[in-house]
Amino acid sequence: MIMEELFDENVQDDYVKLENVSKIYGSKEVKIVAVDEINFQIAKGEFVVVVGPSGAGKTTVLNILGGMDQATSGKVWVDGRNIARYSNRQLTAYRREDIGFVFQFYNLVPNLTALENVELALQICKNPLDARTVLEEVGLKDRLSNFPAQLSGGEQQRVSIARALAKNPKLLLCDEPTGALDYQTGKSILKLLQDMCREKGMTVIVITHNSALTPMADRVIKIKNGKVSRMTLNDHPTPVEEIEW
Amino acid sequence: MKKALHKDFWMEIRKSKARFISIFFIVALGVAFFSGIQAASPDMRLSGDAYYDESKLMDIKVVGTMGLTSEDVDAIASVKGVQEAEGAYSTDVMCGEEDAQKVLHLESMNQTVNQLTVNEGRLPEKSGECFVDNLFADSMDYKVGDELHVRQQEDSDLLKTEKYTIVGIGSSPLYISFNRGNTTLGTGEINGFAYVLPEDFDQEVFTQIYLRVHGAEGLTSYTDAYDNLIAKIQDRVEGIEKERCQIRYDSVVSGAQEELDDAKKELDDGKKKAKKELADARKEIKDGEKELADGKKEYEDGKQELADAKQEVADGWNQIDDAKAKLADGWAQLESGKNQLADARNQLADAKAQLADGWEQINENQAKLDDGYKQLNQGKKELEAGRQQIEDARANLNQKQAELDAGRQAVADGKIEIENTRSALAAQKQECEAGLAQVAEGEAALPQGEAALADAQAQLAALQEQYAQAEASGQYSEEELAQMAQNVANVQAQVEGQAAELEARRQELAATRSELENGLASIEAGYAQLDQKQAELEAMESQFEPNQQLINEGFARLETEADKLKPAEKEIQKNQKTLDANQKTLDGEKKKLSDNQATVDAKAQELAQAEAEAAASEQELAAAEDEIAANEQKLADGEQEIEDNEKKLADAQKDIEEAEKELKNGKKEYQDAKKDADKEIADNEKKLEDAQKELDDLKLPEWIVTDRNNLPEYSDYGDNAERIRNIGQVFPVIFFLVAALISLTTMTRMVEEQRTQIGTMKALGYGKYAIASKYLNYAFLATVGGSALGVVIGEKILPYIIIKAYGIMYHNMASNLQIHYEFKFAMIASVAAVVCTIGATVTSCYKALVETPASLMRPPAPKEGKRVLIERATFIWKHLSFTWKSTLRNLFRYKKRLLMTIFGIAGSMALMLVGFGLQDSIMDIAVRQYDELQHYEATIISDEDATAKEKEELDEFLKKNEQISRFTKVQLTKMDAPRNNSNISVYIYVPENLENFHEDVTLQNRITKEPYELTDAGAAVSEKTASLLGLDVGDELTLKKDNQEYRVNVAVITENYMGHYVYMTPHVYEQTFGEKPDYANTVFTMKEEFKDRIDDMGNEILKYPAALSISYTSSLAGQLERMLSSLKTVIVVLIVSAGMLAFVVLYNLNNINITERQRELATLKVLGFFDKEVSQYVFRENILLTLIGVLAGAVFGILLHRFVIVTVEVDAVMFGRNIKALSFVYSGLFTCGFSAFVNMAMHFKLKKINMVESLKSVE
Repeated sequence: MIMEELFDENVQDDYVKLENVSKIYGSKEVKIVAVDEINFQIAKGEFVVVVGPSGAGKTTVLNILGGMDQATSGKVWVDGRNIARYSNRQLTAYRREDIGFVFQFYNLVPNLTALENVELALQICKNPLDARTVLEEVGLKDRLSNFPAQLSGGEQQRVSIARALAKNPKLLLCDEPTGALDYQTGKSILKLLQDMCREKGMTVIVITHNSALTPMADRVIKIKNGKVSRMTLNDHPTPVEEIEW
Repeated sequence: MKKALHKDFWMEIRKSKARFISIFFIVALGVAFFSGIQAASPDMRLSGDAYYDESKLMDIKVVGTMGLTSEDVDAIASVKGVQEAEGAYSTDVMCGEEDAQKVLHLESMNQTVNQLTVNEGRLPEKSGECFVDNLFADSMDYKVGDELHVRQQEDSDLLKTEKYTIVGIGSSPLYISFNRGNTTLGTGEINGFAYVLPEDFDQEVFTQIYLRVHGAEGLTSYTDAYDNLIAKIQDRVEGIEKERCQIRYDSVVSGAQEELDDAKKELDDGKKKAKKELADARKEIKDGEKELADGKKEYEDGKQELADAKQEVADGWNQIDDAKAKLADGWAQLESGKNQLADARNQLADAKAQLADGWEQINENQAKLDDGYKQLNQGKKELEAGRQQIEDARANLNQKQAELDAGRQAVADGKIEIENTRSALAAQKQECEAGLAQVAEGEAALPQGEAALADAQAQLAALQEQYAQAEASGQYSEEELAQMAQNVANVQAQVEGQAAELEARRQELAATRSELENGLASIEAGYAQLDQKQAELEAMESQFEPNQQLINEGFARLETEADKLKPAEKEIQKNQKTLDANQKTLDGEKKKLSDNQATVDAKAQELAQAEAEAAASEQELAAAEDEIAANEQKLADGEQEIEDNEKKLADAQKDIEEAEKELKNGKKEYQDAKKDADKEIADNEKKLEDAQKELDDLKLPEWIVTDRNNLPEYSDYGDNAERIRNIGQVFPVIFFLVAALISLTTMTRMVEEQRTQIGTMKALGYGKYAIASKYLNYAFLATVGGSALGVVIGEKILPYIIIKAYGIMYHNMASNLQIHYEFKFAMIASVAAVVCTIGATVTSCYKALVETPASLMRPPAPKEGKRVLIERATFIWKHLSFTWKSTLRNLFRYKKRLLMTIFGIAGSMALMLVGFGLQDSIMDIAVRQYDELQHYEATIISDEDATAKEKEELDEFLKKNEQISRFTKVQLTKMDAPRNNSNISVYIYVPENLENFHEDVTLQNRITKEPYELTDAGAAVSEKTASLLGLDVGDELTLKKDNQEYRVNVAVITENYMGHYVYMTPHVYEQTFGEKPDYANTVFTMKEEFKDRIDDMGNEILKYPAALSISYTSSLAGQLERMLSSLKTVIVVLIVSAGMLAFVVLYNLNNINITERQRELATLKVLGFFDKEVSQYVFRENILLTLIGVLAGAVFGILLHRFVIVTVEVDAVMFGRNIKALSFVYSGLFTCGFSAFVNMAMHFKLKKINMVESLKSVE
């Protein structure tokens, strides 16, 4: 069934497509295969959740997808381009223009205020959104000029999301965005991400080890031992509010 | 230590190689620099000492003012503490060619002391061989085997030979550098030395004794221990000086006294002889006086007689006067008679004159008339001539007319003749033509004849045929045949006759024709001739008309000329008439005059009679007069006689006077002679007395006992070592401080970075010591390792470089390198380094360990972003990009790092600046001192013993010499100025001429360059002197002269770099010391064009006895420059080290910066910042810090430079206080360059930052 879906001609879902992507660390003697001949594709505007246990290789996949790491073999198609063979410089440009990252630990520049952190990302890309507006959208209207140290974790993650969104990227990649947050805050962050996906039609890929989150996704990709163990399409995703874990 | 911890420790080192190595090297650098420079000073001394010991350099030198005997040598050798003593001879000689005369110091070779170093050849082994200074040999191009000719000073004969063979070239420990000492010969400077065997000296006594001291070899020169030992022995040697000198004195004095006594005896003899001669002269004078008195009496008698005669004459004169009066009356009467006569005579004369006038007038008129006649006749003659001319012309014209008419006739005749000829010719022609016609006819008849001939011939032929036939036929008889033959012959003869006739006819015809034709031709020629003649005639005819014209014109002119003559003729006739009338009137007047003449003549006769009477009475009077005159003559004779006698008397008087004068002269001569004799005697007596006095005064000879410090440049070497030590005391300390601070920061950072690990360990239950020991060991290992390396390298390399650098000047030192590890400095540096880093580590460990494990394990409270001051200035802040904002906030966030970086960069910059600044300050002083401040080119030091005359001679020479631009006499004396317990020795410079002084010396403020004048307000004191003595303008300077203190007001403080100078006007000097200045010395300057001849000038000046020696400014400057140039290498070492330090500091700090902010940088990368942009993000901070550091370093450098300069300076020298702008630029550029280089290195490090690894998790 999965395979059928996978190769269903009617589904126009090869906006992002990984073909036989492998990532092998280490030398010849000690090989660690982090990602093993992985294949999947994602349609434009989907909210994707990638789940799997720790060490399954989801972060590696995300890193490869985000241009932070290079696949050892295979093809990575993003909007019709194979980034797998990009040079370092091309990858940087790719990150600059096409990718928004949200990390578990926010990674804000401590010297810059919330607004400046967003603007920092904007000054290097071509079609940015207005920083102030984006920050308002993530609900930080009143904290524009606060330094990261003066913000709570959730607020910092919102700044981080705003920074990623403002770049108006093709892909928004989130690596355990709620990992360092409490339940409520995490929920509100996920809601924010889902809303952004729905409202702006942005393709969002969230990595989590928490399979409870799968119902909110349009597409769920389960990874196990460096391989896609299952890919599900949710025709009717559940709003975050209704999910409990 | 537990195994796990142990492993962790080594892993830590391996992981943070860069950090470990940077601490290691920074400590190594600091320690190397500190201990290396410090050790250079003792190593320099040791190297020097090693050379001195090896060459057995003398410790003490004794020179005796009267020489030293071999007994002296023995005496000194037996002084306690003296290891050995050796006498030596020496003298200064000239050598070289005229232009390049050099002074050579010639010394006898020593057996034991002062061992020479042979570079080439060998030491002299027999008389006539010599060993030459290698520098001198180089400059003179002498080689082993060359001959060396030397010349001794005049009237000095100390050498047995003046010709030597050079057998060796090398060096002597007495001369460790370029300086060879001074002399009184040549230019005043010794140019080189040479050693010969003692046998070559012809001297009774030694010039000097060298001694070596027991135990000195074991001590190091330039140390107090050595100096003290030598001082002690020096004292002992001086202890026997008195006794030895007395002995030497006695032997010298006794010899001299003998000579003096002989001289005295000689003088006494001379005195006696002179006395006798004088007595004779006096007697002669007395005789003369008596003779003179007799002559005077005789003269008085003659005078009386003469007076009586004069009375008689006077009476006679009275009588004559009476007679004369009578005579005068007679004369008066005669005179009036004469007057009347004269009147009558006058009247007569007037009448005569009138008569004469009349005559004259008549004569005049007659003459005029005669002239008139003459003119008239002339006119007539001319007229006649004119007429004649016209006649001639007319005749001529008629002649010509006749000729012309004749010509015309001739032409006409000619024409007729031609006409006749022509007709004759025509007739001839006709004749000829008729002849020709006849000939033609004859010719026409010829063919007829020919035809007839032919017929006849044919007939003949037929006949001949007939005859032949007949003959052939034989039918005919002989006769018939003969008949026939006759016939034939007849016919033949007939035919032949006919033919001949025909031929003759033809010839005749031809001749006639040619004759006729010739005739015709000549007729044609005749025609031509005729035509020509006719043409000629016609030409002639054509000329007749113009000639006729000319002739006619001639006639016309003749007529006009004839007309002109007519009025002249008329005038002549008129004049003739007038003249005749005038002649008649004149004749009438002539007669009247003749009548008047007769009357006058009668009157004249009367007058003559009256005159004769007057003459007779005159004669009578004259007779009376003659009588009187005779009487008068008699009286006059008497008077003459009297006069003659008077003259004789006068002569007698003159004679007497002359005699008196002669006598006087004689007396004077006697007096003079006496005086001279007395003087000569007195002089000689004085001389003897002086000699005696000199001998009596002859001071006990002295010994001049000197140690090594008196050798040329020996003490300079020590000073240089001292200078290095001074540099080592300041510069490396700063260097070391920077290094220590950097390692301190690094360790602090390390501990802070590993707080989580510390927390974990603590939580695991490890003790404080166990935890801290890792970091302490880390720091200790790095520091001790670095120190060890630093000591090993620094203490070998730096002294090596420095001593080698000084080896340029002190040639022999570098060959005896003595580089030892100075344990003291190694310990100081290492211990300080260890204490610094360990201390820092302990402090930060302690800070970390007091916290609870929980707080340690929490991620380090992120440093808050803070608003910085500049954000208040919104208009600036708004325009800054985020990277700039971040940069600025970053800078202020990590204040410690900011300060450390700025301090590190500023420190390196300052050190480099000090290096360059030292070069600026030190290298310039020779130029400044001798170009900008003291302009005179040489100083003549005068001989105090010279006489006033000798001094004047020298002045005169200087004044007259054209190559000298100016010279100033000065007093230049060394005096002491007390300073605390010691003295500094200052030069008192008093110029005689203030105007020249202005050109010789520039007084000015060092900083403002404001020029000062030397005024009577007080002394001008050199800057260093003033600062050493703590003097300010207006204070009083204390000077010691002959152990008495004097005070002088300080008027200005002037720029000066070499030595201590106090300039005073003569007035100030007099006021201060209460005596006039003694201008013993002279400074002079050559004219621009003769600058290069100064050595020759010095040579010439030294020929004057008043000049003792000359010191040249240029050689002073050169020596100074050479000395300081060695410092250059040291400075390069400083600059290079400072540069290395700057590099290490920057690298280390950047390294810390990057490690600390790896996460932030990784984020930027993830956001899509290109590598370049990430680097810029970091470099902005570095650039800013570098710039701030450079600026701070410039300020710090100026202060440090000042401090170093003051410390490095020795008392007698003042270095410049300036740093050139270029040095700032260089140091700044170097620092920025290092910074740029480090940033480049960092760029690659940044590139390697792994985003995935860095962002994985928070440790």
